[in-house]
Amino acid sequence: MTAPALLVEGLRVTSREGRVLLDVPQLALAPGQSLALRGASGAGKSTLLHVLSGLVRPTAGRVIWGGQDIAALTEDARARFRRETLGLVFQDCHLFEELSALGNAGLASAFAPASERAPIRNAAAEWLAVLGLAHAGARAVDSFSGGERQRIAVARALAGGPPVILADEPTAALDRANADALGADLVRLAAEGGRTLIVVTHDATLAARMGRQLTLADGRIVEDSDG
Amino acid sequence: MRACLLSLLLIVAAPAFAETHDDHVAEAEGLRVVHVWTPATGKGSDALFYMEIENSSAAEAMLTGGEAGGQELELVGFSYGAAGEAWTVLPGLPVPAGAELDLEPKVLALRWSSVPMDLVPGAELEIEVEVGGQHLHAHVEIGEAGATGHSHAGHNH
Amino acid sequence: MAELWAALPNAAQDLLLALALVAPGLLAGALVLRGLRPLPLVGAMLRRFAFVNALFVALIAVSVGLGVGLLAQERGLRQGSARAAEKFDLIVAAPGSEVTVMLAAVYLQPSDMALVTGPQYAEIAGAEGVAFAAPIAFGDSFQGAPVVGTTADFVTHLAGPLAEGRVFATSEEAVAGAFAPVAVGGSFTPAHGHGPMAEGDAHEGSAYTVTGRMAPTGSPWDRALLVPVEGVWEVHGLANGHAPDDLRIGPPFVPEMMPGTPAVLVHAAELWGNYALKSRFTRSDLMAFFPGTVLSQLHGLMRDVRSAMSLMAVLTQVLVTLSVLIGLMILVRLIARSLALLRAIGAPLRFVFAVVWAYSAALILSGAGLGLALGWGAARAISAAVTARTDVLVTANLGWPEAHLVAGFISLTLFMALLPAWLAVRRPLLTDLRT
Repeated sequence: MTAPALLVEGLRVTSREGRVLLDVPQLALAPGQSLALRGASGAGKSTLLHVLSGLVRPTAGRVIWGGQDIAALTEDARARFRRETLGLVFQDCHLFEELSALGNAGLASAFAPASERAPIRNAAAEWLAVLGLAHAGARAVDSFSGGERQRIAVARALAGGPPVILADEPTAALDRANADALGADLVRLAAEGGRTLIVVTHDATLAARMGRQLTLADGRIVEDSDG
Repeated sequence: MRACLLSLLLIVAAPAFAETHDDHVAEAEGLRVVHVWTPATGKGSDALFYMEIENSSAAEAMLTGGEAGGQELELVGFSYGAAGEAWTVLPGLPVPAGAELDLEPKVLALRWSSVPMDLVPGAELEIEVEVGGQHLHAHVEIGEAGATGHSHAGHNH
Repeated sequence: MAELWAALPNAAQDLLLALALVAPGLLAGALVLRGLRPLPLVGAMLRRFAFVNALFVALIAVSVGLGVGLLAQERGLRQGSARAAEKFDLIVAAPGSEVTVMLAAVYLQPSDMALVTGPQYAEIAGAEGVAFAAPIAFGDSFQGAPVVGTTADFVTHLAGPLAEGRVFATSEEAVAGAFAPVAVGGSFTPAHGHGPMAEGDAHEGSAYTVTGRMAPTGSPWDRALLVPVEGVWEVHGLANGHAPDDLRIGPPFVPEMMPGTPAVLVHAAELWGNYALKSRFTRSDLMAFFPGTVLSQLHGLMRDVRSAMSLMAVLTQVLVTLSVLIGLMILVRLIARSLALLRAIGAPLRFVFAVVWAYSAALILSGAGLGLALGWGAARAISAAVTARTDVLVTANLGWPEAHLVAGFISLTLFMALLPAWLAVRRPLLTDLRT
């Protein structure tokens, strides 16, 4: 599946109290482009990522992936969009402690259509190997280091073959060496597959690897630079 | 005149030769069936009729069953064991001369299988009791569903 | 439809009822899980909160076990006591309390009572249709075991062919119940009376020798020592029912030489004969009754108690079900983050719903299964204790009433488990993800 283009129009997210959390009049991203979202805490980076992934419905505006406005979809339809199009990586991994590394990486097979279950599990095993965790698939995840756990999460994000990867502070909990290594792998794997990659990060090294950087403040884009 | 007197005599004497019944006593040829009763029963269930049968004649009389609503009433005897309660059909029971036979709950009864209508307290019902070759028509008192006896049980007639 | 139902065998009716009871819950489950495979994931989540889950399972198991054990125990007791009375067709005694005579003659719980005289016994034994009329003369004991005077006919009728040895042939011989305290070949001297007040030396100089042992009957007679009724009379210094030069034992007795007996077991040659004899010997100087009738009436009285206890068991289960439901809603909060992750990576709401429902169902089914086992075990243990205490063989086995109770419980709770699942998918995704 080729990466879809992204187009955001008139995007607004306001809190229940009426405070503007996000105000993005327009944003466009070409297929396969890599983008870093930067800014101070509370700037709206994660909110923007959540809206782009369909986890949150905006108060107003459109979020169009490959011609489909996901802001107008039902919750189940947005879930389906995420399953088919997105791979999500979270700051604290969010692994199932009782499952093995392979069980976590292949988690999407649990709710995939029957014909896709085996391919997802096979892909998960392959991605674990690519990420340096070959032969570790059967181990419980609580036996892995922080960096390895995040790699398992990346393998999970890639197992479904999504054309878009969204990562929220993927290296924040890692030491410098692991952060650099994971960041490099993430960018490389995205580029190799022609995947769109959007990363929320405070990590300047990781941000520098992206093709484009957006800086947010008070919910607005204050700087847009091509790397 | 003679014919009239004769008719009158026959009319007056008729009860002596026919059945007599109070509200709940049926009688013929020295055989009496008294206090016939049954607890209220729903349509489709089995109804059990209890009564007292007196044989004041000089010969033994065999109780064989009865009839109600065009259907046969079976004489049944109660038994109780590990398998629970059971009613078994009996071919007949002798009522010795000068003796009584009581059909009472959890001992003996006449059974009407799958009654065709609800038997409700206060409703009118008549059955035939076949004893000693006689068919005694008896009025039945229908009691409450959990009744354990005839309302006049213990009264003399 | 009603006629079709009535025509089915009882077992078929019970099976269909059980299926009908469990069907709604299973149907709900089938619809929820249709096309999905949540179980491996559910297994992992169950392992994570193993202790809490075990508590839930135990709670459900105890409530189910309570209901199951109650029903099984009550039925075992009712059937055991009824089985013990099955061989006692018709009892004839002096007028008095039918319950008292039944407890004495059938269950060997003796009381003082008036005697059936010799002439009365002769009339009973000689009545048309009587196969045998056995005196049952209790009053003595040995080491707590009742010593009962009767006839060889009674021994054979009660227990069938002997397990060991032969029936008594003289007034100084005895047959032991299956678990009586004297072995074949052994001797004993009866005490006068029963229990701690029994006079052990009242019949000193007299002794019986055990010549045979009965097979188990599942009744208090298994602990009894049966002797010829003549032996009981002789031991008490009375005439033995026969002429002085007549050395045989057993009927016919000489009416004037027969001291009397508290009860007579009458067995008719034909089934209908018992009813005719009952009617014949119900009169001012005698009382005739069917122990089965009396026992059925007693059990009927207990039925109200049983209904109240069953209601309490059902109420307990309903309360536990509600508790489990509330607990499941709390438990959903424990697994909310995992559910949020599933939704975040694209799991359909129906899958998340199925995960929560299957989680609840696993607890419910485990608890119900364990409860069945617990209830069965408890009923068996209590039955053994009751058997040891009363000598009435009580066996409690699981039957259809228990199956119906558990089926209904499972169905109801599986259905109610839809609620926590529905609440789970309505939770705020991002809030749970950030927890």
